[in-house]
Amino acid sequence: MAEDMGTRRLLRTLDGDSDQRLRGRTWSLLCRAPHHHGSRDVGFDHAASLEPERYLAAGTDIRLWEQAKGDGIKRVYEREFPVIRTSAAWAPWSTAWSRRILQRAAWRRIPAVAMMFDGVLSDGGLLVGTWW
Amino acid sequence: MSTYAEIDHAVEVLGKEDLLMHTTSTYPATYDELNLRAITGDGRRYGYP
Repeated sequence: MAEDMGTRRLLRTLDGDSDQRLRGRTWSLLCRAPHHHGSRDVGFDHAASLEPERYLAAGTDIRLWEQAKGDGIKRVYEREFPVIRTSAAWAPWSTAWSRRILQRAAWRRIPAVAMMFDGVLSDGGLLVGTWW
Repeated sequence: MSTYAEIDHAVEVLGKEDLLMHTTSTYPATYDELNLRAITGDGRRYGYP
C-alpha cells in the first residue's frame, strides 16, 4: 500500500502517532485477516510475535496474501457477469434520470451533481443521488 | 469487471489525468479474485509513476 502524504497526514491527525507506528498500522490494515484476530491495531506479523496460535495462523495469512496478489492480468471473472448484466440493463434509465435531475436544477438555477453507482450495491443495484 | 480494451477506451476519452482505480465487483470477493498485482501492472501500462 502506498503511504502517500495525504493518508499519512490524515492518520497522524487522527492518532498523533509516530511515523514508525503509522507504517506498522498501514501494514496491519493491509494484511489484517479479520477471522484470525479481531483487533484493528495488530497486524498478523505483530500478533505472530506475541501469541503461539497467531504464529501458526501467520502461515495461512502469508499464503492468502500470495493468493490475493494474483498474476496481475486483468480479466472479467464469471461471478461478475450478473453484475455486468444488471448494470447494462440499468444504464439507459440511470442516464436519463441523471440528465433529468441536472436539467431541472438548471431550470431552477440550482447547482446539482448527479452521480451513479453501479454494480456495488446489492448485486448491481443502482442509485442516483443529488446534492444541492 | 472491465477488459483492457474497455479501460483503454475510457482512458482515451477521459484522459490519464483522472484517477484510475482497481476494484473487484464480486461480493464477497474471494482472495483469488482480488488480483492486487493488477494495480502495479495498470500503473505501468498507463504510465503512472
